[in-house]
Amino acid sequence: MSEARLEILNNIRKSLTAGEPKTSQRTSELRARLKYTAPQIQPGFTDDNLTRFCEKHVAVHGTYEFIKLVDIEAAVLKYLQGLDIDPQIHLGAGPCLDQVKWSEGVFTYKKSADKNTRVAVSEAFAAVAETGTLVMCSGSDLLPSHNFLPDDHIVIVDCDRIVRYQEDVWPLLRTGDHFPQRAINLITGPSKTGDIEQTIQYGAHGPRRLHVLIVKD
Amino acid sequence: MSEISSIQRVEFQDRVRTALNDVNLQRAMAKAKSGFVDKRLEAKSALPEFDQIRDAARDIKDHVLSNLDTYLELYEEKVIENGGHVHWARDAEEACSIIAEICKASGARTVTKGKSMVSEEMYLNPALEAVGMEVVETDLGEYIVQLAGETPSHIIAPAVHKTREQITDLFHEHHSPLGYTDRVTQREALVNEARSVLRERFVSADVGITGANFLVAETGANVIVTNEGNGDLTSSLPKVHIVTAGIEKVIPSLEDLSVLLRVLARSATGQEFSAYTSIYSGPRRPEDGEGPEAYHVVLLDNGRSSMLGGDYQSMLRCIRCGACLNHCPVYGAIGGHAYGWIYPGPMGSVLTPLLNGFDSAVDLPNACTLNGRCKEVCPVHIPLSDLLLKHRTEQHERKLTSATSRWILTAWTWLVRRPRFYQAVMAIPLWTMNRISRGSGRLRWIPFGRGWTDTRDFPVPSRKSFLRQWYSQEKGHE
Amino acid sequence: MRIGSVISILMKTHQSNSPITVGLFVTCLADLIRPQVAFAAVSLLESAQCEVRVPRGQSCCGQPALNSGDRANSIEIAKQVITEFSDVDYVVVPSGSCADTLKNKYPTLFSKDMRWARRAQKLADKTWELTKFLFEKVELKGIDAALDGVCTYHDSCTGLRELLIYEQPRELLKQVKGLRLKELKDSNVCCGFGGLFSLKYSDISTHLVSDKCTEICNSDADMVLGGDLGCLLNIAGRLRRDNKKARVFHIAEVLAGMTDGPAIGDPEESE
Ligand code: SF4
Repeated sequence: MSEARLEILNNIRKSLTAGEPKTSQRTSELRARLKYTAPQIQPGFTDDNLTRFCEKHVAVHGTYEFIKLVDIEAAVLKYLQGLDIDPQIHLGAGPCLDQVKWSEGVFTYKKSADKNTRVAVSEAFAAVAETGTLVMCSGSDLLPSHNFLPDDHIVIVDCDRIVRYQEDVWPLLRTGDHFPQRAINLITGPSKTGDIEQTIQYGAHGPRRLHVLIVKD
Repeated sequence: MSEISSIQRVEFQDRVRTALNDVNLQRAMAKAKSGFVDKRLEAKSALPEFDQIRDAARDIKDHVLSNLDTYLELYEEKVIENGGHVHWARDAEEACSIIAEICKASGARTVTKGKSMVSEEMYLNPALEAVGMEVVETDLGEYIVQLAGETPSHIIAPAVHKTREQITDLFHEHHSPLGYTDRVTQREALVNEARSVLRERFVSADVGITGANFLVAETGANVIVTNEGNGDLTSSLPKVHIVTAGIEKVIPSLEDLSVLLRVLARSATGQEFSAYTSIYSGPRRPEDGEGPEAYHVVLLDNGRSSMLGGDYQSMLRCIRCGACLNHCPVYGAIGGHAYGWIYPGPMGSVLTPLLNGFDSAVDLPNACTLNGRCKEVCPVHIPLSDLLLKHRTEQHERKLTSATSRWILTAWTWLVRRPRFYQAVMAIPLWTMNRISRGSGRLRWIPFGRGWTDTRDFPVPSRKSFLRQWYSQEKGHE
Repeated sequence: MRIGSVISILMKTHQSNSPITVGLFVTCLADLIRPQVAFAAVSLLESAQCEVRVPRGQSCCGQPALNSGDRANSIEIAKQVITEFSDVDYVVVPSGSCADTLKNKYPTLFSKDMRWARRAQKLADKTWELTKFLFEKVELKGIDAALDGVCTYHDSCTGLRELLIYEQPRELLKQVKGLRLKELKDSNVCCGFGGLFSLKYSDISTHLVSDKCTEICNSDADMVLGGDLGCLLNIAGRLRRDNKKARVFHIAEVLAGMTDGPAIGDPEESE
C-alpha cells in the first residue's frame, strides 16, 4: 500500500524490536486473542439486574415505567399527552415494538429524524444493568438519527434483555445478524453538557428527555 | 543559554504572567477547580475495584503498544472488510492534505467536527479553510472556543477558561446575525441557543470529522465517547465520515474496550459512564436506512512511532481523560493556553517536547513542582512526574539548559561533597543574614532570591548550623 | 526446631541489649536554617531508645541537582551519602522529599554500576522518614509534649505520594496533650515550593502558596505543621509577609515539645 503506511509500520517495528520482521506466529496469536476474549475485572454489585438498571438509569436523569406488551401504545400516548406533544412518532423496530398496532390518529414515520423531530420511539437491542445503559444498533428500520435528534426519546426495553455487564452485550452482538453493525450506540441518560461553567445542563444536542418503557409480562 | 531557549523562556513566563493576571481566567479556573477533583474521588470511592481496573487498563495498553504494528494491520484489515478506507499519515501536514483531498473529492463545502484533539494537533481547521471549506466545531466547548478564535485550553473541557459572561458576549455577537437577537445569559438558555444554531449545521454538513477515543481491532470500529451527542450527529448525518486518530489508539477487542471505558469517564468527569459511547464501523450497509456513504480513517503518526521502545513509551498509554490536568496545581493556576501548544497540563508537558521537538518547549518539563498528583490519578498509571524528570535529564544532557545553571550545579556539588569546607563557607551567609535581620526572624530581600522575596519573606537561618552546634557542644560526637 | 528457637531467642535478647543505631540525615535546610528540627529528631529518636549518630560528612541529599536533571552530579552526591551512612542500622530523615531521594531516587542512578547499585539499595532499604519511623518502626509511645491550641497539617507531596505518609503524623500528634488537630482543606495540594521551582517560576509558586495560605487562614488554626522544612519555609514566608497569625512548626519540634521559642520565620524573643 502507501509509502507512508510502510514507513510508519517499519518505524514501529524498528522502535519495538530493533527492526526484526514480524512473525506470522505473532500475528496468529494476536488474531486468536481477538477471537477469544474473556471479560476481565468487573465491578461487583448485589442488586438484581432489573433493580440496578432502574437505579442507574434514574441516576443519570432517565425516567421509566413498567408496562405490559399490550400497553406500549397506551404508555407512549400517555407520556406524550403529559408533555402536550402531538402523537407524531418516528418509529424504530424490534420484537416488542413490531407487535404494536398503532391506532388511527397516531402518525408513525419509518424514516430518518430531522431537525424538527419531536419524538422517536425505539426498541433497545439490550440494556446493561451495571451502568443503566441502553444498547441501540443500526440496521433495517433502525435509524441512529432517532437516538440523537428528537427532543424526546422513548425506548422500549424487554425485561429479559437486561444483561448484567457491558461484556454480556458483546457475545449477543457477535452471535446476532449483521455484526458489526455500522452503529452501536450505548446510551446512558439524556444528552447533557458541562461546558458552561462545568455545570451539567441537559439537552445539549441530543434528546432532552429519555423515557424507558420496560416490558414485563 | 541558547538563543532559542531564552526566547522561549521569556515567552513562557510572559504567558504565565498574563494568565495569572487574567481576571476572567482566574475566575473560571477557580470555579472549575474542585468540581472535577471531588467528582472523580466520589466515583473512585464508589468502585472498590477501581485500582484493579486501572491495572488492567494499563496492561491492555502496554500489550497493544508492544504489538502495535500487528494490531494496526489487524484493525486496518477489518476497516477494509467493513467497506471503509484507511489512510496513513506520517505527520500533520500529510494528514491535513489527505483529509482536504477527501473533502474536495466528495464535493464538500461544509464540514462539522466532533471534538478531536488529534485534529487540533494537525491544525486541521485552517488547512480545510484554506481549501474553501466551512468548518464548524460541534462540541459546545469547542464551538465556544472556535467563536472566540482560540484553541481548547483543556483536552476534555475546551472552554473551561471561559466565564458565562464571556460566553454570553460571544453568542450575542455571533448569533445575532442569525436572528437570535435576544441577549441570553442563563446557562440553560445559552445551551438551547447553541443547540438550535448547531442543529442547522449538523443537518446541512457534507462531511463529518470526529476523533476516536479508541479504535477496536476486532471489529474495525472507532469509538467516541461524548455527553452531548454531537459526535454521533457528526458521524451519522453527513454523507462522508472521516475519523482522525493517533496510531496509539488501537485496542484489541470489545472486552478490552469495556475495561478502558470503566476508567475513562470516572477519571475524566467523575461520571460512571458518559451519556453516549458509540461504536462505528464503516459506511452504511445495504440494510441501513441512513448513514454515511463513505467512511475514512486517517491514522496519524507524527512522532508516536519513535516513542515506542524508549523511556517515554508509557506516554502512549494516555487515553486523554484530562485527570492529570484537573489535579495539577500549576494547570489550575495558569490554565491551558499558557502551555503554548494544544496539549496542556502534565500530559502536555511530557508530550509536547516529544511531538514538537525537545528544544520546542524547554520550560514545560521544568515548570512543575514534581508534586506527583498527576501520576497518582492517571488511570493508566503513566508516571508523569518521572517522565518530566526524564525530560529534565535529557535537557541537561543535550545542554538545552543554560551554561550558568549547569556551572552552578557543578560548583555546588563540589562544595557539598566537602562537608567541612561547606560548613565553613555556609557560616558566612548565616552570619550575614542574622546581622541584617536584627532578630526579626525574616528577611524581606535576599540576593539572587528576588523570585522568592518579592512575594514572601525568607525565614532567617540559624546563627550556627546544626552540625556545627552538634560537634562543638558535644565533643563526644567527634 | 529446638535449636532453632533457642537461637532465635538468643538473637532477640542480643538485639534488645544493643540499641539500634540510627544515622540522622539532617537535611541541608534543617542544618542551616532550623537546627531545632534536627535536635527535636535526635530527642525523639533517643526517647525511642535509639542510639543516634550524626555522620559528619553529610550536607545535602542532592535534590537540586537531581531535579535539574543533572545525573552526573547527583551520582557524586549519592555516593557520598551512601558511604557516610554505611554503618548504621537505619537512616532517619526529618523530611519526606529527602527521604524519598535516598530511598527511591538513589537506586535509579546506578543502572550501569552494579556495585554501587547494590550499595544504594542497601541504603534505600534502611532509610525512613522520621514520622514513619517513629510510628511504624519503633512504635513510639509516651510522647511527653503539650501544646494548647488548634493545629492544622499540610501534607507535603513527596512524603504523601511516594512514601504514603498521612496517618503517621496524625497518630503521633494525638499523643501531644492539649493539641487539637483541625484538618486543612486541600491539605494534599502542593504548596508551590518545589525547590528551585519556587525561584525559577516564582509567579506560579506564589499563586500556589497564596492558595495554601488562604486555606490555612480559613481553617482558623493557631498553628500549621508539616514534615518538610522546604514547604514550611515557603508557607511561613508567605504568612509572615501577609502578617497572618498562624505560626509554623515542623512536626518534630511539636512532638519533642520544642515550641516555646519562635516559630519558623518569627522574630527572636526580645532579649
Ligand atoms: S496522562 Fe493519564 S491522566 Fe493525563 S490525560 Fe492521559 S490518561 Fe488521563
